[in-house]
Amino acid sequence: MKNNFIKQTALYVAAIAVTIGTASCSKLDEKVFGSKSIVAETGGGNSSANLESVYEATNALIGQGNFFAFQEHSTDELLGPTRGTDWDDFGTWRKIHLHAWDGAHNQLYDTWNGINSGLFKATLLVEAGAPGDKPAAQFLRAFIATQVMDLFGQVPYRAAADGPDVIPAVKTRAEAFDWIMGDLDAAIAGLPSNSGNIGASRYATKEAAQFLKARLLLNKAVYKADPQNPTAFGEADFSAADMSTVIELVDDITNSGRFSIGTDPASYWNNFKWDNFETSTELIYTRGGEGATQAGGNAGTNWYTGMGTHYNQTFSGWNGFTTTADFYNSFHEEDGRRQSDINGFTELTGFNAGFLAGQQYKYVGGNRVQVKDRSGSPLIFTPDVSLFYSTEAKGIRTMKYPLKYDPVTLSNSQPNDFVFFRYADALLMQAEAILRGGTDHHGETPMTILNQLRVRSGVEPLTAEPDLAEILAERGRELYLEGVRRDDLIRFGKFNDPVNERSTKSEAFKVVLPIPNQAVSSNPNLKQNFGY
Amino acid sequence: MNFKIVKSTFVGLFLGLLAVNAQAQNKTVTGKVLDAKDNTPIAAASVVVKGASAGTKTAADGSFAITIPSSVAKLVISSVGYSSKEVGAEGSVIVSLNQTSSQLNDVVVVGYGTRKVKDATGAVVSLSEKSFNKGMIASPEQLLQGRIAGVNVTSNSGEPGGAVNITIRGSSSVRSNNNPLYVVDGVPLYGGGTIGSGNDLGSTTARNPLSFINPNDIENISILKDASSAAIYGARGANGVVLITTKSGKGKPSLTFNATTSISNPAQRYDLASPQEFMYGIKKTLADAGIDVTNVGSNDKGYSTDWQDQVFRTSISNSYNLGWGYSNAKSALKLNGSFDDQQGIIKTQGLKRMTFGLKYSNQLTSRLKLDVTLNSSTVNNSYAQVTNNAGYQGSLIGAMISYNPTFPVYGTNGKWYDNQDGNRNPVAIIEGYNDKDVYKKILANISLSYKLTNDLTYKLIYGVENGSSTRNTFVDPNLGSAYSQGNINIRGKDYGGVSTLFSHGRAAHQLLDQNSAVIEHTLNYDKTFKNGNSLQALAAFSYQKTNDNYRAQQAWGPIGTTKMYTSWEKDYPVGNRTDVYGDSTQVELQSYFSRVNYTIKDKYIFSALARIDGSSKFSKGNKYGTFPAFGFKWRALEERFAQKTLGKIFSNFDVRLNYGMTGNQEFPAYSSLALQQESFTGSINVITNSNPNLKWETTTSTGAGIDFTLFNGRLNGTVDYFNKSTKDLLFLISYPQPAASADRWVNLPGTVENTGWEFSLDYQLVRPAYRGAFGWDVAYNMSFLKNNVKGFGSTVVNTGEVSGQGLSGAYAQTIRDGYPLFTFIMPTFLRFDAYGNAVYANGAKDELQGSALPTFNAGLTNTFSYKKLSASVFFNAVNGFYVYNNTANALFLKGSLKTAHNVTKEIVNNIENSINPGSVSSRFLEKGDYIRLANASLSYAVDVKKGSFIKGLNLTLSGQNLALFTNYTGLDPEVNVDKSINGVPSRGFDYTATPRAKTITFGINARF
Repeated sequence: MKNNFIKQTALYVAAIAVTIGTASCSKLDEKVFGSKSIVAETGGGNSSANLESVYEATNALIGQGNFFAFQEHSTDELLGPTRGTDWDDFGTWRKIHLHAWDGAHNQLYDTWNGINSGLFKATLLVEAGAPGDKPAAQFLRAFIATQVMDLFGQVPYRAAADGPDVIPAVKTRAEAFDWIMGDLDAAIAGLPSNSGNIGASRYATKEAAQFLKARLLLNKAVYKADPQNPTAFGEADFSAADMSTVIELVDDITNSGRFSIGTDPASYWNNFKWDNFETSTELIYTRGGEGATQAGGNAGTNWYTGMGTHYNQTFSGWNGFTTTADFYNSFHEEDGRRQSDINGFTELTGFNAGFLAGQQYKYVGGNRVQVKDRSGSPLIFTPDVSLFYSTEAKGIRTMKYPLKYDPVTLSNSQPNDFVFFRYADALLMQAEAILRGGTDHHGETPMTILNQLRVRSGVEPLTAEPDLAEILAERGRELYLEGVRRDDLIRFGKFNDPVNERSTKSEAFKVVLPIPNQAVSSNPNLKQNFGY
Repeated sequence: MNFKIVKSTFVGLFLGLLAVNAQAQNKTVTGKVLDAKDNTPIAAASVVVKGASAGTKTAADGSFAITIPSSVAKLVISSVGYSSKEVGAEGSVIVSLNQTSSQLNDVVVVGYGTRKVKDATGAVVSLSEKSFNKGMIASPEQLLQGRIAGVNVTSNSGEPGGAVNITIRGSSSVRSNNNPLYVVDGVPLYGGGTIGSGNDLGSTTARNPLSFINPNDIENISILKDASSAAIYGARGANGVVLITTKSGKGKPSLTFNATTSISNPAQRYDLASPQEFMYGIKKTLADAGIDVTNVGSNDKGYSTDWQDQVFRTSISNSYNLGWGYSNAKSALKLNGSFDDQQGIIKTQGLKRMTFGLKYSNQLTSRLKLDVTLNSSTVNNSYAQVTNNAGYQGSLIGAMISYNPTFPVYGTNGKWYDNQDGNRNPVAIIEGYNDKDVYKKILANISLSYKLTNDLTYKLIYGVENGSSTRNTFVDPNLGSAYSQGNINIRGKDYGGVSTLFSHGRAAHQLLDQNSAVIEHTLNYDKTFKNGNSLQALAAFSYQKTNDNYRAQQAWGPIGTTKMYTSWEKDYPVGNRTDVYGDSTQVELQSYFSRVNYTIKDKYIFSALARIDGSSKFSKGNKYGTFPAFGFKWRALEERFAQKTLGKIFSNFDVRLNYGMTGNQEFPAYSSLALQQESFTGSINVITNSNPNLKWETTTSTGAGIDFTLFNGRLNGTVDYFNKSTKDLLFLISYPQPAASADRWVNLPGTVENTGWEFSLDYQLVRPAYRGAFGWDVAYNMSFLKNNVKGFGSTVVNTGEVSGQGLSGAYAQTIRDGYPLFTFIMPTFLRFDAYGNAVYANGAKDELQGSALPTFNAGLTNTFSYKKLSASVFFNAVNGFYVYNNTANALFLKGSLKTAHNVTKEIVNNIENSINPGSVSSRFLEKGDYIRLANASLSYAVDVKKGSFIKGLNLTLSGQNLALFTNYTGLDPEVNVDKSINGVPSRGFDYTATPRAKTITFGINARF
């Protein structure tokens, strides 16, 4: 009996040992596969991101929504009217045009995340990347951080070595400005000049960094203003020294010998049409389009076509955004930037470049025919447009980036480079800096500079020196839909003024966007901007 | 969690249990079990030592032999449908059992074992074949829809094989899905296995993970509703557990054959304007808006096409099932094969399924037993382009509703008519897409049990689940430009002008392989003591590894392609294909668990269990979680004092108390790690932020219940109360920028509370006076549920995307403190003003409305029998919830007419102004309350001569979804189109879903 008991007990123990002992085999570590890998915990030349991923991150600045929408819909250049059951979109476009956004606006959070993820990737490269990539990474970080500072008035910062639970510190607008300047000076010192090769503008160059530095200095008065009173700056705040530096930086860009202004309206459209990366002489910094040999995704310039064109046009769009009547009327009739026919384009698609107004046409079987709207009536774009109640054909549309059209397959593609920085903008900055008290050493005046652009566009040259208002108007005509209108209006103190469909002046604090609510609740170091 | 501690805890626990163990002499008892009424043998009756659960089963001739310790005095003989009997455990016995309607002795599967209903301490409900829903059953959950209190089954739409939501005792998770864990023949299903959409019309809806199972092969479905039972599945038990047991062989060799033929039609259709009403509506609308109507006539192409007729069909489905099996004292075998061909009511929608099942057991030696089960299935799905988030052009149903009824189906060139107005011809959507998948699944497990002693059994289970799915989608090049949009950009790489490529036709090829292997070691101890008390104990280890591998590729046809090619291999040259892209994941789960049941005098039953689960999804140091549970049952009528009081009314009265914790780890693998990914163009992107602190979501539940029997067994009832509180809610929140990704998984503070009452009653209203006399049974169940989010602070999560033209960015649902999950939020619509513009309350401010979660569910089944006929009628009612009619919001607006989109008759005639925007508002939010005549069936048992080769023949006529009573203006309020935002689930949205069918089925069931 006793013997039996011992045998039994041994049996139980053995059974348990088999059950539990042999079985506890896994450490439960996660294994990843394929294109994914676990990020190394240490930095030092071992960064996870690569430079291509930072270039790719600038795609967040391209497209009809988010960043671009806040830069353009908030101004007189663009609005998104509700058309019956179309385009109400929960008021998202309307709220931007009316300056009626708040921290809950649905495009704010995506904008914030899109720009900031690029900022983090750039920081990984600057602080933990290969030394050879550093100057380019510094330019890219400055470029991306500028957008955060400009839109949101504060810049959060996460170091490459920070652990996952670190709450990012936040730089004020003034602190961020100085920080960005530091990156830019290092980038200018370390970057090569534009090589002049096709596609060279798609990469960081000395000239791109110089351009950005000039833009920042020109806007320094805005960025250094009191956050509680962000529009309280005057002419005195634009220091002569800064303005002279702007002029010198643009001179440096000119002296690279890579950039020039053309002589006819067609050369203006060379900056935007499908082969702009080959034909333009003005591209300083761009993102390559379809077919560009660059890492990461490509710019999608069809957004800038489709956002306005009607469903039934040759580039079938989504019949959305229009410009305001006042903005359209700010152009001279003969201005090639307003409307130009383009060879290899207009005779195939029925479109002109520039603004689309009046009866629209397309080609069917080689014949030019009227485009009809969805109820069968001729499609005639008219300047009058209501933000709340518009019908299908209301509003002047834009054709800033003429796409490539294949008349055989009846299809289109979008090889256009998307333009971030352009030489004409550099010259306009120079003209403005002279007017704001900077010293030019080459005898250029604001008038001679503006006239280069006016003559190229087929507009009567100025005969007297322009004032600041004239500079702003010329910037509008030259740079519309290039993502600078909001900044320009703020710098010239006009951002809060009424426009066609916004009848009252908006509050001064609206020159800075609110921090999205989700971001405020995720980071206790972020304080909601003044006024919101 | 330290392994050594875990191990030693278990060893200690188990040794403690075994401390009292002495081996005694054995004896063998033989006997025969017969039906008391006609002395026919009862096969598969259970013969067990009193107080224990282990024992033997009778053979086909009712005989049994059992070897037991000589100390055992009594055996308990039981069988489903009979009252059990105790007999002396000596020599040879003949036992006659009386038929009964009481279910107390039914055996329920409880996970890692079975228990009798009377011994179960938890809230476990078991449903067997006779209570299943009848008719055309596409997948197992349809068998039990509406039949069980506290179990809410909502099919998302009427699509064959489409996704289903099963919520057991309410929704407790904010973020991850609320579907239960499925366990088939003891092996936890990994699930998943089907691939999403491969087209550009929007994403298709998810599939049902159970659609591979042959419903005919199911013997029993058990549902573990409360934590005291579900905690045995630890980290996966929080949403309840559904245990599916397939059929096993019983008795003499017999062959069964079932065949059904079903005819289905859409149960409801949209009440659309006729061509005349449509043209009248356009003219009036434009004239009212002051728009010139001279060109309006161009919209009238003079045809009269009912697009619903073009899309819907009367579908015919067939199902065949052949089974063969036997059992004897030594072995049992069941083979089962089936073929189903289900047509959807939308042309091209359908499902073909072939299954094979094998279940075999063999008592190899007196101590060693082998069990093998195999379920293999091949499902061919055919899809129509019904999607959940289509924009203004609509997917198939949207196009069907809004396409101009004066347009012809085909143009003069013989191609699909296309007015070049950007709208999509529904027939082109049907015929121009070929979208099919093949889904193969093998579920197999093999187990060996070895009786170490008479009381102690060791069991090894090895199970595999292999699924593979291939989905090919082909698009006809003749579809106009309106059908091809977007850009092929795969992981950073562009593939050229898409409209150029797609004008030659396009294809998408997707593959998904899923493998799961589970190995389990269990030790079962089962002992009845001399004083009649009994102890059952379980100690186990389980390890499961699952791998997922998804690959996809897209392609376009060669230049000049003019017809749709449907062979991926042959027709799409390698040079016209994109790179292969995809993703792989691996998840491991390792668990230790133990359960102890102790029964004192058949009166007090205690149950305690704990499971320690480790998952690879969590970071080091955080991998293990512990899930304990306790249950207690008091069988009141075993008390002498109660017999004199309660016993006068009740013939059975049990009180149950339970408490337990269960977990939920339903979030994507790798969420605790920082990951980077390389694009096809060489950029390396950090894609996730690490979160080392992530842990399970834990649900703590307490409950109490009463089981009672009245009127001499004619009334059986159960009342349950429960309270569930879910904490450490898994959620994806904003990650402080700048960072690699926008968000990361965390455990939110706050809880989701579910409290509820469940009642179920079975009443033999008319007890047949004799065999064949009229009988009437009524089964009724109902449940009340209250859901609330607590401690959420100021966190507000919006979900419920509203789709349609002009509705980008719109949402209609919110999760916030103090309200139930899935509460609707939107401005309150009051009326149209004199100009036909909408007037909203309080300046059109967003206001909180009702929730999409029902507060009341009920099911009522009446079963009648008379002679050879039996009939049953089943009604299902769901109340206290709201449905957002996104279909109406997107399409049924006056403004639709202005752009020549068709609408319902009601819209043609209402006073809305055509420039009134269709903003989200309570105008489209409706009460969903409904009562459905869900199932009715009539069956007839044909007389068969004794001794003829055919042993039984049954004919059945059944109808499903025969009538719907509701005030909801959409087609059917039982709808749940996925409108999640950033993965936060939504509930109660109706957006151009596949309508539900009304089905009549004729079935024949023969036994040989």
